Amino acid sequence: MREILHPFRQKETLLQMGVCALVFIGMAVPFKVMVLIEGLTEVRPVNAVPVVAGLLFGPAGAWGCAAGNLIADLFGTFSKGSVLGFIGNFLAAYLPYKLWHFLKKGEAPNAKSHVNIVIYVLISAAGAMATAVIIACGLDVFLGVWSRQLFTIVCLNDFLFPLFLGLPVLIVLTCDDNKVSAFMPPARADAPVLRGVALALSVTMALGITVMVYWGLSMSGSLLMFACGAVFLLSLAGVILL
Amino acid sequence: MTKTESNIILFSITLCWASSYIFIKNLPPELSAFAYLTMTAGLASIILLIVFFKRLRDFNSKILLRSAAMAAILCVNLIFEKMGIAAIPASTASFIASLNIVIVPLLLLFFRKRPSRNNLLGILIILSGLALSSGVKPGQPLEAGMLYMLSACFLMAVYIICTDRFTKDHDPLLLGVGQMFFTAILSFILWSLQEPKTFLLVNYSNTLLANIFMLAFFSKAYAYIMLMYSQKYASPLSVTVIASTEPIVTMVLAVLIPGTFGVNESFTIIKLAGAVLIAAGAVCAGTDFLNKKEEKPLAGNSASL
Repeated sequence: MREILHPFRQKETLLQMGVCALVFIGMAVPFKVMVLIEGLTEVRPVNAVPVVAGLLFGPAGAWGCAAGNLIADLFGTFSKGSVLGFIGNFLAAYLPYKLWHFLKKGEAPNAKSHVNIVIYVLISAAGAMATAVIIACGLDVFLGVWSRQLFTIVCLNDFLFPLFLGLPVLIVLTCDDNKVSAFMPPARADAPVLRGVALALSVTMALGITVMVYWGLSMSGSLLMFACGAVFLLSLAGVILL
Repeated sequence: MTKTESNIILFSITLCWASSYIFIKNLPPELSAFAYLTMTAGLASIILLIVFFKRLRDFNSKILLRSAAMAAILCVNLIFEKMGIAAIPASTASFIASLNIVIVPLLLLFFRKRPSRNNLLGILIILSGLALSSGVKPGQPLEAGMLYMLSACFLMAVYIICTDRFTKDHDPLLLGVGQMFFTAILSFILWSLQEPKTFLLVNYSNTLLANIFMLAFFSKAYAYIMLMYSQKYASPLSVTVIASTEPIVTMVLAVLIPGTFGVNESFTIIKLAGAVLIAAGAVCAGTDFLNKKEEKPLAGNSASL
């Protein structure tokens, strides 16, 4: 929990949050015209930002993207669902950051080896699924709006753009000419197993829910899926609090 | 930057340029090529100036001169391309435009950089793929339009090689920003020569502004800055080979987003065969299975990918 609130305590991280929010708004607003589902979503190249921002700036990047998304929503798609958008975009940045440092302990995010590129692809996919579960299933459970199409669009927006736009940006930002120093999580010895379990469980649940969505289930209509959603939220709380 | 990293960047640029047709299609037909270039390059310059404001103090006369040269080459390339497209069928123009895959290795010979066997075989395969996918017919008489397109293609090859040489000695970011700035100025001069009222004649709408912004952001600001970075580490041949996969990307986008490229875009077996050949050629040119049998070339004497 201390890590997640860390950006609000330093001037430098607050500045990083502001930069991420500005970049997010600048990229999100012009694409509001490319509507895919009226009032809910559009083609969003801006979704390339959270994964890179999360990997490079950690929690500051995640807060910046969440705030940026909320402000960008004011330009035409602001609704009760914007709260879910805030959480979803926070997660789209924070989960890849946590997963990277769980899988590559002590190594700053980079794409200099094939293994690292594969890890980047996998954590982008995990982040995309988690965001889709939060936004699409959240709309279903809390606001009674279910759309499998929305789930697919959120998933694709959050996976393809980080892959085709985010990865090249990460490569340039971490190349010898720029060497942007990534935020590294503080070394902690307490509860490493629990943190790993929470992370693994959240990714597994997101994957399970995605499979169930394409099986034809919805969270408000299936007890099993609802239970998976509850475990997913609990494990996410574990990822954030532990 | 590793070879894989620079290839990933080059592919993302190809993707940006291929998908830019989605936005170009939404522009009003009366908007001239120079107006389009002025507005997109101008907006891209503003974006880059804001984002990299702190780096502007690093500009010096050498970087400015090289940026201006690159912008001039791009603008003259556009003039020839415009004249060529107006004079010959789109399929022929598209095929000739892709011939820089041959011109770049030829020009590289002047710098004593010879292509490897894999490069040569790959180029041949890509060329046949391009011929298939563009639908060009052999035996067409040489027309003025073809010469214009060939000149445009030659200038693009010169641009690729110039970028390669300049980025090795100078900051790629500053070169990219400077080039965009000079492109905006030069294209504005050309636009004002063509139509003195310039900005006053444009019918502004939200759709136009949104599309111009997207093109400025992705196909100009993002693509050219990334190109500068990747060319610092990649050879000009890599750039040409990966850029030659653009028809495949366009075809995939056309299938994924129906109607994106207009009603005339049809998906045929011949086009698919062309795409397969281009992909196979790119893989062939990017690997070195034939080179292993060769004697090891002297350092700096080969332009392998």
